[in-house]
Amino acid sequence: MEEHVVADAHDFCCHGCKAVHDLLRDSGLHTYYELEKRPGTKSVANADEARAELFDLPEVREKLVEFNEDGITRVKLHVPQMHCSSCIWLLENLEKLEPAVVRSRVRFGQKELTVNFREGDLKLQDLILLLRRIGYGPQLTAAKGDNKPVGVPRMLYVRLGVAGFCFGNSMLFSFPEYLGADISDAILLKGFSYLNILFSLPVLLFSANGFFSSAFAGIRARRINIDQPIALGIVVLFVRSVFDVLTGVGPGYFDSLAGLVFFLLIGRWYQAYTYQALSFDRTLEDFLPIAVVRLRNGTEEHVGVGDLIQGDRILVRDQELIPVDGILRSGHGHIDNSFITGEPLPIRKNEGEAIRAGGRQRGAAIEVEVLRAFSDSHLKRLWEEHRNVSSERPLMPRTIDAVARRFTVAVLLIALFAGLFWWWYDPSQIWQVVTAVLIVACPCALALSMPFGYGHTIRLLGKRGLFLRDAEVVERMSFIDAVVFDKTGTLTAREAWDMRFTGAPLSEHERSLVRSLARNSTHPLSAVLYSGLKAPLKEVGNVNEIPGQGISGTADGVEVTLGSASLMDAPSFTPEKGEAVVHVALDGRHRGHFIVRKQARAGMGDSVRDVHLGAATYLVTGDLTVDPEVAAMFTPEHTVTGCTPAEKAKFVKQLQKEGRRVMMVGDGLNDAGALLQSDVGVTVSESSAALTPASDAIVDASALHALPRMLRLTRSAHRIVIASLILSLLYNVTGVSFAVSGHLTPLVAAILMPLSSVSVVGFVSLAVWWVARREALVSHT
Amino acid sequence: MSVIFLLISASTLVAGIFLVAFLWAVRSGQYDDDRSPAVRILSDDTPTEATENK
Repeated sequence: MEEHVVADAHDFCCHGCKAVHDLLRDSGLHTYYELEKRPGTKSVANADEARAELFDLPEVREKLVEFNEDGITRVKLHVPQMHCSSCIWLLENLEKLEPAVVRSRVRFGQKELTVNFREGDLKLQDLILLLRRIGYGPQLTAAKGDNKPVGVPRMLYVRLGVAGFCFGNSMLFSFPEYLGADISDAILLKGFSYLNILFSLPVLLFSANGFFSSAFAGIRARRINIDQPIALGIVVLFVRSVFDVLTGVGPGYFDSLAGLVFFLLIGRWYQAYTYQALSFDRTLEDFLPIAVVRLRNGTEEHVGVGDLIQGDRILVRDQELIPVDGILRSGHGHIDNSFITGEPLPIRKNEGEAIRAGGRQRGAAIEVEVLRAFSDSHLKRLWEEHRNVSSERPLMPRTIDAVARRFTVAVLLIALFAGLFWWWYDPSQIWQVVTAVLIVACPCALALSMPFGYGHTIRLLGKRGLFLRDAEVVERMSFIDAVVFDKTGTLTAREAWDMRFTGAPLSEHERSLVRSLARNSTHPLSAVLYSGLKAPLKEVGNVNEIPGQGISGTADGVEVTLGSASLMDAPSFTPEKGEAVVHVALDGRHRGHFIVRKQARAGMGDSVRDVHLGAATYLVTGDLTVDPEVAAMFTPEHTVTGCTPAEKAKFVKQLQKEGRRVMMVGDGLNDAGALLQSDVGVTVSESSAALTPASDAIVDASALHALPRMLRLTRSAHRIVIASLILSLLYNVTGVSFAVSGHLTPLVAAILMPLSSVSVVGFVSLAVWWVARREALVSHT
Repeated sequence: MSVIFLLISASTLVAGIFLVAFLWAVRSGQYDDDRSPAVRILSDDTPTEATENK
C-alpha cells in the first residue's frame, strides 16, 4: 500500500501502525519509531488463524508452555510477522506494555518469541490478545509435534571449534620442521610430532565424524558420494602421518589433516547457515484451524477437525477457514477461496448451498452442517492427489554426484597405476607414493565450491525475495528451460486492481468519505477502494456492516453506504466476468458504482517476455477465459484454460516427457500438484505469514518481476561452480604429479591444501557476487 | 632449552582455555541467533519512566 498515514510527525505505513504508536506512546515506548524509518508490520490486518480462547485449551497449552514454576510460566510462540529490528525491540520490551510479563526474548532466525510471565496476573489468552493488538499475533496450527530445528546445529560449531583449535596448534608445532630446525633439536621435534598426534585425535574421532557417517551411508546405499574420497583421504592422512612419526621418517601431515577438516567444516557450516528458516514442507494439517466450534444442544464446544462427523453443525466466524465440505445452514456465506484458487474475490453463498472445504469466511459467523468427514473432504482429496503425483517427479542428476563418481574412480586408478609402477621400479617407495596420491587427491576444494557457490546464490536471492529450499534447487533452477505460470494470484495480484467509477464524478470530499468508510471493512473490495482512492481520511461513526451486502456509516454528517445494489435504491448492473461492482450511496441517494477488475502485477508483462528469451513460457489457468492483458504475454498455443488441479500437474508432466526441465510458478492449493511435479516449484507469497503449499522455493510477490534475472543468476552460478570444479581439479592434478613422483613432502601438502581451498572459495564467492551485480540483484551500496 | 617446554605447555593451556570458553559460548546458545543480540544492545539504555523509577 503506497498510502501513508501521518500523525505526531511520524509517517506510518498503515493505520495499524498508528494504533500501535498510540499504544506505545502511552507506555513510554515511543523510541520504537527511532529505530527504523518505517516500522510496523506489513500484515497487521492479516487474519489470525486461531481465536485467543483456543490458547487456553489443554492440548494447545501443552504445546506452547515450556515450564510452569513458582507462578512463572514460560511459553514459546511462533511469530512469523517479525521482520525488522523494531519488531525485535518491541517484542523484547513487552514487560513495559504488560507488567505481568517478566521477560521476553526473540530468536529472530526462527521467528520465535519466548515469554516468561506471571500467570496469576495475566492469562495466556490475554497475552495472545496483547500480542495480537500490537500486530504480532502468534501462529497456531494443528500440526503435530515440534518442527525440526532450523539454523546451524550447535554440534557443528563445536566440531568446527575443536578442528580450528587443533589446526592452529598443529601448525605451530609443524613450523619448526618446515623452517628447517637444527638437528640438535631432534628431541624437541620428536616431542612436537607426538603432540601433533595427540591434537589430531579429536579431529579424527570427533570433528570429522560427519564425513565418515555420510561416506558409510553412501556405501550402504551402494552410491559413490563426495564424502567417500574425503573420508578415505582423512584416514590415509592419519595412518601415514602416525606411521611416519613412529618410524622416524618425518613429521607427518598433521597440520594438513586438521586444516582439511577445518575447511570442510566451514563449508558445511556455510551450507547450514544459508539454509532459510522457512518451512517448505507443509502438511495439510498446517493450514487447518487447531479446533473448530461445534454446536450441540445449543452449546458451543471446541473439537478437533478430525473428530467432525457427518451431520455435525459447526460455527465458522469471520476470517476462519472452513475445514470440511458442508452445507450452509444459517448466515450469509461470503467465501474467499484464495487459498485454493488464488482468487481473492469472495463468492456469495446462500442458506442451503454447498460449501467446499478450504474456503475462508469473510463477514459474520455462519453455521455449516458437515456433509463429509474431513478425511473424505474435497480439500483432503486435492491434497492426496498431488502427494501421489510427487513420487513420479523425474530425477535430475546432480553435478556433484557425477563429479564425485568419476573423481573417486580416477583417484583409485591413479593410485593403483602409481603403485604398480613403483612396485616395478622401486618397491620400497610403494607405501609412500600410494598414500601420497590418496592424500593429495582428497577433494577438499571440490567439496567447498558447491556449498559456497550455491550458498552465496541462495543468500543473494533471499535478500531479493526469492527463498530457495537448498543448494540443490539452485542447480535445478539453472537447468530450467520451460516456465509454467498460473494466472490468478500469480500473474494477477491481490492488490493490483483496475478501478473505474461510473456515474456523476465524485468530489474530493465525497471520495474521502467513501475511502474512510471502506477502511472499516475487511472485505477485499473495501481494501481495493481504500487503497485506490487518494483522499484524506475522516472519522467514521455508526459503522454497520451487513455481511455479504455492504457497509454503512456516518462521516462528516453524511450517511455513506457501500455495497450491493440491494442495499440502496440502485439500478441493477451485471458486471462482466472477472469484474466486481460496488455501489455508492450518499445520504441515501445512489451516486453510481465502482467497477473493479483484477490487473496483472506491475512489470509482469516485461518479465514474462524476458523469461521467454531463455525458456519457453506457458500459462495454465483454471479459469475459462483469460483477460487480454495476461493473454498478450503468451502465445495462444502455450495458453491452457479450464484446467483442474490434476490437469495442471499432468500438463507439467507432459512437458517433462518432452524432455523439458519445468519450473512451475503458482500460488494456490490448486497449483500444489503442479508445483510438486515440476522440477522447481515456486510459490508466490503475498506476505511471509501467508500459507503456501509445499514447494522448492517461495518468492515474495513484490520480487516476482525479477524472476528472469534470478533465473539467469542461477545459470551463471552453475557455470561458476563448474569453473571452480575445474580449478580445484587442476590443484589435484598438480598435487598428484608431486605425489606420483614421490615428492609430496609435508611442506608441499601444507601449502597446497589451504591455498586450493581458499582460492576456490574466494573465486566462487567473488564471481557469484559479480554476476549478481551485473543482473542488478545486489544493491551498489 | 627447558624453557621451551614450559612455554609450550603454557601456550597450549591458554589455547585450551579459549577452546573451553568457546564451547561454553556455544552451549549457552550464543550462536543460536546472530540478529537479535545486535539489536538488543542498542535499545537498553533509553530512559523511560519504568527505568527511571528503578
